[in-house]
Order: sequence, then structure tokens, then C-alpha cells
Amino acid sequence: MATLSHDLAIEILRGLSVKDLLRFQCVSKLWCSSINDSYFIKLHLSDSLKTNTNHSLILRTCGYDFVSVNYDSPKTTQRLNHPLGEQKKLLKILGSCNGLLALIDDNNRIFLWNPSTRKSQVLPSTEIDFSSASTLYIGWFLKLPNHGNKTLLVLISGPRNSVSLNCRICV
Amino acid sequence: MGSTSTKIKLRTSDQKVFKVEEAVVVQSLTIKYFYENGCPSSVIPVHSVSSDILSKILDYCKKYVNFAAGKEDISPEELYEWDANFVKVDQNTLFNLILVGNCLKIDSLLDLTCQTIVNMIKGKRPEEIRTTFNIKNDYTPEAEEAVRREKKWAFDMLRV
Repeated sequence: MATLSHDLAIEILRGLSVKDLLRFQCVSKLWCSSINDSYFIKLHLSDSLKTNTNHSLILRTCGYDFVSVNYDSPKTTQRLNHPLGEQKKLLKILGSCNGLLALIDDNNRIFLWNPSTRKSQVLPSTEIDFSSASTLYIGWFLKLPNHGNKTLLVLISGPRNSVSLNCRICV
Repeated sequence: MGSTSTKIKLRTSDQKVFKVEEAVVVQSLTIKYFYENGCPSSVIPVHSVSSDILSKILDYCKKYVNFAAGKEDISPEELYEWDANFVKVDQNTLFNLILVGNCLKIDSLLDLTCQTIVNMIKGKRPEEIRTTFNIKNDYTPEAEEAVRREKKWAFDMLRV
């Protein structure tokens, strides 16, 4: 019986959905580390963007209730648990990039959430007051591959005549 | 090209010699490199390939060369259907096609065969994947249970 090398098997895994990949981390320790490898994740993301696969529409039915609709098979709709595991806590979406959502809760905690893996990470606290309705926020999240994949959040915020630039680095 | 096109000889692992048109055989970047840098009149050995797999791979290359040259009177949809029938083979043959496609660097064949495996394994359980890829489970039962628990939702609504 022909057997594929590990490298070839991993090459094939690039075509799978995130859900399949998470499940296949249970196959072996080597598969788990290869699937979690940042280079593999980057390839999987760029493949998905190129081929328009692994796309989901995230709908919010109320302030804290999210539903994911799979573009590849619209019949698969899944209710997502609260990103921080806290029931009925209101969340505001600040923006999204490459499948990551930046959210803020009513305690002014900003966090990144990946609905595909269901993982979230709270970012270090900020001095910016997000409670003011008259303030405008524009943000970008950048991955810094040369700095251990730390995330740089560049946030421009402020009222009309006093715009401030705020940069933060977090893991 | 045409009736006077150059033929290249390939020798398989079971010592069979195939005479193939240059345009067909250079679909393989590995053979193309050998052919352009070696002696074109000699027989090129393809040690890792058996005659039945090579014959199947040459069918694939011929189909695509003829299609590109307008010699195949079929639509892209019909070619797509031909592809689908081409990969309707047992798993051992499919894996051999991938191994040879990778070794001979025939990218379109590799894409087709890898996508077939993707369709075959999606929605499957880790136990089935271990059997398909002949992988030994090196987790302790406790460690595997911990990984499973962490990804519990990824096991929801699996195909039976």
C-alpha cells in the first residue's frame, strides 16, 4: 500500500476547512504541531483568500449572540458561543481583518476573536475612552512576523479637531 | 510537431520502455529538465514509477496537451468530467499518482489528485484519517482526550 510522506500529507491538508483541521489535530502529535505551525496557518489563509473558500458570514442576532453561516455550504449554520464565554454581555464590533474580529465589551475590554477557531484574546487595556458616542475610531491589526508574530494595533481615534494616533503592541 | 514530432523514451521501474511525444512528456518539469540537460537520444529512466502508473499519467498529459492544442473536441466542462473519472481509482492508485505527480513535478495532476483526497477526508474522524494515511497514534489516551475536549465543537455534526 502506498504511503504519503508527512510533507505531502500536510500539503493536502491545506485544502481543508478550519473545523476539519482542528479535529485532525487529534490524529497525532506531529499533525497537531504541523497544523498549529504559523507558516501552515499563513498558507491556509492565503489559499482561502485566493480560492474564496473557508468564508463565513458572521451574523449577530442581538448584542451578544453570534451565528456563523458557511459560504461553502449555506445549510451549515452554527450558533457561536459568547467569544469570552460570558453569557449576555454586550459586544460592539470595532472591525475585521483576515477572519479576525476586533470586539469591545461594555467594560471597555478590547479583544480579538477568531470565529473559525472560536479562540479569543483580550488585548492589554487602553487609555482611550471608547464610551463616547461622538468619537470616531479607525483601527488596523497587523501581524509582525519578524517579532514573534506579535500583533500591532494601530488605532486612530478622536473627535473632529483632535485626532490622536495610538499604537500598541500585544502578543 | 505533428507526424514528425520527436519521441522520447522512458524506462519504468519494471523495465518497460515507453515512446512518448516530446510535448506530452515535458508536462513533467522533472523529465523536461532531464531531457533538456541530458542526452535526448538515450532512454530516460523513471525508476520510481511502475508501467501501469506511468501509462495512466501519460493518458492525463496527452489529454491536456491535445486539449490545449485544440485537438480534443470537448468543452472545458467535459474535460472536468474526464478529470473526475480519471481519479475514480482505488486509494493505492490515487496515492501512487500523487507520489509520482510530486516526483515528476506535474502540478495540475498533483492539484487534481490532492483535491480528490481533500474531498475524501473532509468530515472524517481522526481514527479514519489514521487508517487512510497509515499514521500511528502517538498520544497517550489522556493527552488525546485533552486535545479532543479543547476542540469539542469541531466534532459536532460529523458525517456518519
